[in-house]
Amino acid sequence: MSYLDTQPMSLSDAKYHLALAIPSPNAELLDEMVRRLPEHAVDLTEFAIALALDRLGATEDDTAETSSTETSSAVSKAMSRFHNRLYAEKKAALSSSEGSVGNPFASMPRSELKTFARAINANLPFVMKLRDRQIREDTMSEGFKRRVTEALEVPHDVVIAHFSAPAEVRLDARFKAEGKPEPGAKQTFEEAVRGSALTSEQQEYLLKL
Amino acid sequence: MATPLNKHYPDGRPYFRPPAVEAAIDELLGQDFATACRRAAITDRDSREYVPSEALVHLIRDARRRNDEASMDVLLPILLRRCESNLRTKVSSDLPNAEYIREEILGLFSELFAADGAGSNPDQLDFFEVHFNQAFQGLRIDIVRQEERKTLNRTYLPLPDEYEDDSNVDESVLKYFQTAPNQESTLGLKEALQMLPPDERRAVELCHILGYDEESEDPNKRTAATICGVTGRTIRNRLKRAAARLSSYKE
Repeated sequence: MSYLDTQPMSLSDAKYHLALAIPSPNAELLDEMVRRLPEHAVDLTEFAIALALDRLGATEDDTAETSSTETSSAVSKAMSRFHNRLYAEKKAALSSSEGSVGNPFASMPRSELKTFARAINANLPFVMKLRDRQIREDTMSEGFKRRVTEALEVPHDVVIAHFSAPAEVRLDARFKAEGKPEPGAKQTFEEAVRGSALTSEQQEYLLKL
Repeated sequence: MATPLNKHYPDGRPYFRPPAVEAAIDELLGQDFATACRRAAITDRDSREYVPSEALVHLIRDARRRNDEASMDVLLPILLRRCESNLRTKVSSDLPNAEYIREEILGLFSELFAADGAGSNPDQLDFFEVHFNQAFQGLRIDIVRQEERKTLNRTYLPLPDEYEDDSNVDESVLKYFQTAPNQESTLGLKEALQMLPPDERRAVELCHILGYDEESEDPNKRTAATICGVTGRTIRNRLKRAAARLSSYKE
């Protein structure tokens, strides 16, 4: 049993392991990653191929960075995103230390949740996962988060802070077992989309946002 | 001394920074902030005072840990400018949304610093302190290939007129993908690879770029055949057809 067998691994970590392979990822390393994350076999394989192709014929100089001294609009926009995210993270950390992060879905009755589901071309089970923070924020596309922000009509940082906070179990949920269950590990966005009984058209739409 | 990294290699060893990066970080941490900023802004990579991007990442993360927003506001744009320069070269302007893709990559990268030390993957930036270019390449490729899928080439290289399934085909052209040849000889073939039908292209990528066997007698072994869900014979036929197309392209 390798070290990795005893450690949890995210999809992004697996990709970085492949990216840092020198000179390129090979079948052996890819197999190791696929063995750990079989549900992402296709994605990891395509990623490894893209990496290897990108490096084919490239020299170290090709990948080394050079730089200008002027700040472009792209850098300014990136800094703006950095500050927005920093604000959201700080707010989430503060709220977490005070008790809980504000949940923009909290006051929505079932009928409103259904309306929201239609607005983002999803269904109620999927929206419940959003409400209960069961999906990892770092696996959601920026387009999806923007779409949720528009549909909720709340500030973007509130949405980010909500999704970044730990998963929660609703107090009003009904449980078959005795006692309240602990919130489990979060799903990736793709897992949530694939596992929410969405139509194939809805899945494709959400994954392409 | 630089904070140790928390991520581990697949074999269990902790990721470690190259000695030159460690030395650069130690030197920078011993200097005042104004000097570190002046050095970080140096763009000449041959300068003795040039700060490797790995060390720059460390300085920004150090500022993040201290909630030192002012330092981040100075240092992060310097790193982002380096990244932007890299993206101008590496994200082809032939892509329909090239500008958007470059901005998206920069934006996502900047958010990694904001989220550093928090959330479900708090040490993700460790990879960027080990080998910045390769980690950034991974981030870039992950986003670019999503866009490339939308603009897949539908015009395929033709098979030679005289080609038949039982033809003898010289498959040596496929070896070019294995031997890391010089750029000139590879560029055309990389382009041609994108012009193969998807099943043939995948067979070449798996066998000649990632190094998978075509098939195996071991039922538990992943091979090109098991990955594609076909027989080894089918993989060999696809490779043969791919070689025939690529050979005619090369001529």
